[in-house]
Amino acid sequence: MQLSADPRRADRERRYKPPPPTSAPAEDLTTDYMNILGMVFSMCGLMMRLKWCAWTAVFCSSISFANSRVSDDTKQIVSSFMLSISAVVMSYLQNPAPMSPPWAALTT
Amino acid sequence: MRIIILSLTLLLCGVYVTRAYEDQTLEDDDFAEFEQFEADEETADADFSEDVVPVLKPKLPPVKEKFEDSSDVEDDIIIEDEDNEFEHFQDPEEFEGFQETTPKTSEQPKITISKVPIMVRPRWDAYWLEGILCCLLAAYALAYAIGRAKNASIATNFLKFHKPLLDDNFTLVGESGLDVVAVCDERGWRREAEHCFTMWCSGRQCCEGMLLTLKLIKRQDLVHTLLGLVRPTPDTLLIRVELGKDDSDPYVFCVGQKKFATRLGKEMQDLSMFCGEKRPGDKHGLPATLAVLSECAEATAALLDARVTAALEQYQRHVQYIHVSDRYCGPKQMEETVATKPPDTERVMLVSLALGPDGGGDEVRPLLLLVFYLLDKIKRLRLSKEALSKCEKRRQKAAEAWMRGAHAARAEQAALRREEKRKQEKEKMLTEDDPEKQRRWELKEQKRQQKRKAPKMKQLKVKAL
Repeated sequence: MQLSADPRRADRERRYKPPPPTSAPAEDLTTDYMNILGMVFSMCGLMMRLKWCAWTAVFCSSISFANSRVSDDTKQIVSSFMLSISAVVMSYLQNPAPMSPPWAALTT
Repeated sequence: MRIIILSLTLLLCGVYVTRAYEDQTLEDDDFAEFEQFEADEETADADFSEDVVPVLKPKLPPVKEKFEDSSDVEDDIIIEDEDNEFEHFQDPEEFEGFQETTPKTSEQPKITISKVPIMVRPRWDAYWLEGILCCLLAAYALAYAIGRAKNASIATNFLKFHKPLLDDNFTLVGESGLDVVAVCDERGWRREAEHCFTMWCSGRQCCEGMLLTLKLIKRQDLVHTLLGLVRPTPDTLLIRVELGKDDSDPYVFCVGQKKFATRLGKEMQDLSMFCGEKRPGDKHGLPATLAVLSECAEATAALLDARVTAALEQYQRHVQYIHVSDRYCGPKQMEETVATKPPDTERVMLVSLALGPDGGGDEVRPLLLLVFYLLDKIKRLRLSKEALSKCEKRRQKAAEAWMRGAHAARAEQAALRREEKRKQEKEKMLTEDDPEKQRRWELKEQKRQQKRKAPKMKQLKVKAL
């Protein structure tokens, strides 16, 4: 499937124009979902002093950061991270006891 | 001499008098009467000390002694007082079981101090769960760094192998700037995300431009990588070619793997509107894994020529779909959003290619050549008059249907607005103080309702002959 003549046309050169949002395929919403989940878990960790919630929030923020697009708002990701880390720190400041695994509660 | 003796005697007298005055002041101090009272009590109480304390003697030392000596005696005095004052408490008829409940003052309550375990700071090995979580975070960070580097290397490898071909076809390939993944400061991919790179190519005949989107596996995300082990997904290259006004005739065509064709047929507005049933690939000389959605049989036959069929047969695993449309407007709009203006349509060719492991190998070049070949073919392809008129008719019908839909939607919106206005007017009237005004409005409303309920009839004026 070889092409013979030179197909290049400098006069047809156009600048990049991003396609309209309606015609674009469905966007990846992992970042948004993880951001919201992270916020919810952070709040739970802070208010209810649940350590596992705070740790889950850290993981959610990490996933959100890894999946984020360059055009996404950096402030939102940073605030999500800060909130989740503060949830972990606050929960250990209030109660420095180590976290018990979920099956420990079942056995006792 | 006399004067000296006199003055000395006067001085001595003065000193004596002042001393006597001081004694007098001590005697009638504020607490003197209490002392007197205590003394009286002491004398009255026979059990108390037999000594009579002189009133004028300095009181402080004996009082101290008194307190030291008679601490238990004092209790007796208090009890005596209580006996006198609260005697009725002792009455068994007044309070039942009062005697039993009163604690005995003589016995000291026994306080037992339980042994509390001494709080020792928990050892570090108690934090094993936190340790695991920290390790997981570290592993995630490491996977992020490795995956990011891997995806970037796939993008640069693509440029290394296929940029010469793109340079041969376009005058403008890629971008230069800050966040660009390229080989040796050349133009290259624009990083949209850690797994998504785009490159705009323009300056070619038969098209306005071509947008390459390299959608790689999310290698930077450990969770997605692990999910990929369960349900593997390939790296994909999406090619979006924007066609000019005169670059193609009006038709909609799609060929792709069965599942993609089915999904696109349902989701895409142009395919669902213009293309009929999905036809299996066998009927067009294609492998059975492929399916065809087409508006015009003539266009299908022309596009799926021997070379294209051979290429599709050879790379059927890699070609997910090829979608050519003159009315592309993306996925169907949701039912809730009522459109009042027609959607913007574009002339495009969309190609989705599944790349081989690690960003593809030898299969990419022939598939890119297939895309360029199809571009030239679409430009050259001219439908016959009948096919063209049929296609135009379908577009006209679709436009009319859309106009009807839009009109109905507009009428619905207007009715809603009218209803809202009437509601507001009614509320306003209900709050109105003037009953005459309200009555008039009610009459008006009744008339309007009657008029609405009455059957519509045309009045014909018949002229008398």
